[in-house]
Amino acid sequence: MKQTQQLRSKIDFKLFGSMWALIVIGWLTIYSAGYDSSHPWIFDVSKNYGKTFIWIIICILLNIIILNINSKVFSVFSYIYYIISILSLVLVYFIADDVKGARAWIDFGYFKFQPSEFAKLSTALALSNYMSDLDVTFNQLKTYIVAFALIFIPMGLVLAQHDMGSALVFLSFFFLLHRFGMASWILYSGIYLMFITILSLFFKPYMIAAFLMIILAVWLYRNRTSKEFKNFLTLSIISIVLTFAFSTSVEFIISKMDKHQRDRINVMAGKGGNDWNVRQSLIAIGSGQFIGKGYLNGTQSKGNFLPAKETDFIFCTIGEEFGFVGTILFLILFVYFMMRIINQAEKQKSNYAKIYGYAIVSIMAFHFFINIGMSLGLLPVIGIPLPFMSYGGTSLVAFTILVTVFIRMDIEKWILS
Amino acid sequence: MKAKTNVIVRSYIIFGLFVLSSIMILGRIVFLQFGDNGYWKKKSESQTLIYKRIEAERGNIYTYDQRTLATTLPTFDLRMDTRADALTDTVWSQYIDSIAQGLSQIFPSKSHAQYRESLDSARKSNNRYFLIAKKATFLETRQVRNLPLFKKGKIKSGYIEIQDNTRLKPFGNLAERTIGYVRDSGRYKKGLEGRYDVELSGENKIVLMEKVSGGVFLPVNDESDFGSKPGYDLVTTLDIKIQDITQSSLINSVRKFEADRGCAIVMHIPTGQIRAIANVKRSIDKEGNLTFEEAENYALQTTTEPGSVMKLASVLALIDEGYCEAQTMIPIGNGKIKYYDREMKDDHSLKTKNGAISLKTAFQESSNVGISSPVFKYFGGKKQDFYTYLEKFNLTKPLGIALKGEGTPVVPALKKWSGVTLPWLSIGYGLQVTPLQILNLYAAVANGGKMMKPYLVTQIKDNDQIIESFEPEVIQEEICKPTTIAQVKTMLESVIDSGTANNISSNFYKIAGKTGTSLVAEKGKYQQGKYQSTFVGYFPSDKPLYACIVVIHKPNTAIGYYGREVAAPVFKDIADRIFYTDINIHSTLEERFAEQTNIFIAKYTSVKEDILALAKFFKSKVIEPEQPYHYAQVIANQGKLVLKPMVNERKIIPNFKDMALKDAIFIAESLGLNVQVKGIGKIISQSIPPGQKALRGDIITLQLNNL
Repeated sequence: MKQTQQLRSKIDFKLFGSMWALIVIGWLTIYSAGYDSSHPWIFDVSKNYGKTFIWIIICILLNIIILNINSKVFSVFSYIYYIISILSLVLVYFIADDVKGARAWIDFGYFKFQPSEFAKLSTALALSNYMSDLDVTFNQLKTYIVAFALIFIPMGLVLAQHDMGSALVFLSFFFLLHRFGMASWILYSGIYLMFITILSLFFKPYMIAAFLMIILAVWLYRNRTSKEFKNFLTLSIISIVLTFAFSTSVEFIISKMDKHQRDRINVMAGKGGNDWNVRQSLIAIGSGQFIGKGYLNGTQSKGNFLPAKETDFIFCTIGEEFGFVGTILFLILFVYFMMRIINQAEKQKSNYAKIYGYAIVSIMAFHFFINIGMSLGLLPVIGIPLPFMSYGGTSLVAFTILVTVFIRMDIEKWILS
Repeated sequence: MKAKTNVIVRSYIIFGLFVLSSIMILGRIVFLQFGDNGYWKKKSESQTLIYKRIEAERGNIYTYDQRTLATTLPTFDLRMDTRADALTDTVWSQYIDSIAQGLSQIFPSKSHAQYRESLDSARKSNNRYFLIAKKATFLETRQVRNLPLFKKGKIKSGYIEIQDNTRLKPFGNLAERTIGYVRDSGRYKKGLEGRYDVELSGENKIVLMEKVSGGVFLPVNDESDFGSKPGYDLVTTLDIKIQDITQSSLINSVRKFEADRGCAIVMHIPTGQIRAIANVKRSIDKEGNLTFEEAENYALQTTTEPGSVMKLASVLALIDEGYCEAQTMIPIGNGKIKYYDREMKDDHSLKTKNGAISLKTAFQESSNVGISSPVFKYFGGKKQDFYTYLEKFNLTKPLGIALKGEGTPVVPALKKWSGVTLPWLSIGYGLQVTPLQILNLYAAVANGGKMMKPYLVTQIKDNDQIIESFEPEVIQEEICKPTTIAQVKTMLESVIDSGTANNISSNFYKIAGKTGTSLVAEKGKYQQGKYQSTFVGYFPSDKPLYACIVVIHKPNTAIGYYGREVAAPVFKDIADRIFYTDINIHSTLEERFAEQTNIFIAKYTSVKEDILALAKFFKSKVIEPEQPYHYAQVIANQGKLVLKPMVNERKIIPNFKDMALKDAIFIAESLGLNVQVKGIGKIISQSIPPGQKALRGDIITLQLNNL
């Protein structure tokens, strides 16, 4: 009993508080986004805001449970969760209904369950478990194979559901791997390829190759006296060929994509297409100006203009109703929340907890930047939620568990000492 | 060491990406919200997604027999964009003449040429919002919409319709002030509309609406029940027939006596239900015309010194305490008496028996000395007792009628009474009450001493479902002993039989009441030659059904100012007309009246059922027309009643002249005509001459006689 009390006082309230602040702000924003004057009661369960309230209650219960059980329950059995999670992803492929081109939800009647949200959690747990093993280092090829497999298996299964957004989230684990010793060139190549991918949207492959050729020619010229000139030349030719090949394949893949994905990419590239969502999103945020239109007074973020006003484009409501001031305060809160996790992760004595902390920051940051970038028209529209804010029971519960488990681990560092 | 540096470098790289992304996001937000000169904000404005107030349909107000006193109709403001893109000069010259002609047929207030001219000049001055008609009815709008060119729609013709709701009072100015209004979004609230605004309004809704083609707004949330909740209906106690009678009688009198203003109330005695309230203010408008309008609810709000009608309270108190009987002799000397330093005298000298008259005579002749001296004698030492009676009679506090602004009686507090307060109070000076409060005392006497609370609303309904029901309420089970009431009733009857109001006695039914003529106090002084003339009473006095008060303020003394001359005839007129038309009363009559001739209902115009019921009651022989009819005029012919149908099935417009407005509206509307009313009183002319065939949707203007 005494120990429980002691532990309670060890909860990192800055982290815990900022998480709950986000949850409550999220709920109020969903209320405003979906506000329907014929159902003005925020607890009205026929509306998304009322349902969110129920999910919040569930999160409170989960908080109480998780904070009171040993985190070993999560770390020790992490492979089991991982396997269950993989199986549910396989299952969902066969039994899910098609929703907007994606087969990602299992319908339980009253609510829909999205296994991919839990796959992120179980992958984070399993990956942390594997990497925290003292024998595992990135000097061995085996480490790469296992770590990549842990990431790519669920990612592939999610991709098979045509849920590209959720699938891309798994790439965020590469930041984690990089932090804990993965060869740097993998991340840099990844970033380079992403860069080429984006360029491919705007330019023809031969133009990209020609551009690269000019840059490399300048570089080679400046190193013309170098002893390694020959090697540089070979490297340059290989990279130009590979870049050209990659860019061509991107163009090919885009041409073979589903229409809605192609539309989103075209919009991003300014090539027209169905730019509805982004345009409306920009109008909503742009019309907020300095202090916004006031709570519940937004118009743009509520119309039928934005089909995903309560989910993927929830950020618009903040932008429209609270303007520049509100968005900045919100961004500060969210960044503070993520920084706090990093801060606490660095203090962890258990390797598992430290890696896990970074894992969740990777996931959070990825969601955060992609979602807001897409709302602002900086990135193509890929449907991933803004953590704690977007409407969606599974995602709210999954994110809450994700963070609360870390808070529990953080408490336990006091037990270890 | 190297490993440690490596970790730091790696962290910095990730941190760098983090910061870079954050800066991009920040920059983008700044650009969106401040850059491009508010481009995105303008975009949002042009999207025409707005919050609109959906006004709930306001509830109706009904008379006690479910006739509509106030309702809401959609009306339209019709406009034209005379510079619409599609209106080229060719199109304009091709159609404008036929449009002008069509408009002049639909709205005859302007001629063909006038319309032509105003349309042309609107186009010349680039008027993109030219007003064709304000508050057009649905029928008119439909006609305009079907004019050449206009029927091609807004884009091709520039024709614009804006819907609005208008509160319509089908009976024009009848009970206007009691029905009241709500103006300037609730800033000014009057009458029943104001008092029951919450109930009538329903629930407005703020709904996010999205503009779709054609300038129509549709709600964004496709909820089937998005609509607002309509207001409740009010069922009042008002009777439009009685209201019509009361109001027209009152207007006639105010006109005849050139009075400042007047009011009258008719109350149903057994229940306290108010059947009619009329308030008339005579004024001269800007054009120098006499107008009679209901500006304020004097009947309920204005307190004045009641004068002699207050003597009822004194007599009740004297008899109830056992100090006097009706026949008790009161010395009045030469009709003058001095209370301390002030002298009181009677208006006219009375025949006395040894310088004394009975209390009854004092009452029926309205002797100031005869009433005040016994009050002073018996209550002089017991002022508290007299005050208690005033309280019992509900003359010291408002009745609590459910309308805003009921006047509060002004009665001096007991401890402030001087020696002369009591005698002057006993004859109706030195205190102020509203006409309704006085009337309620008379109604209580008529009701055998049981004082009911006057009320105006019987039900609040949601369609057919009753939300709230108001039953008759008793204020005081017994204001006096039954023996007192019985004595006082005979005294009230004697006022009409042989007293000050003997000019209004009727052979057919009995009236009981009291006259009053009081000096009007203004700026704290009684003004010579300015009087308030009152009559209050009830009928038929043997089985009282209606109580009525008539107050006429500041009549022209050159024409008349006594209660008996000015107010009593109005009472008689109202009572007669109610008596002759209200079947309920006649069940209280004795058979002997039935032997009277047919003159009761000869020249009477009413619906078939009423006439037949009356005729049956009077055992009169009726000759009905051969063709089916609904409304007829009764003509006496050799002891028989010949019914002349007022509207035949061929839909011929009748002569509305001299008809009461409510009847005219009834007939005209049953013919499918749209009625417009101008003025007050009886009908003197009509815009479509009698004998023409009624066409559905035609407008007939009825001119009433006050202008």
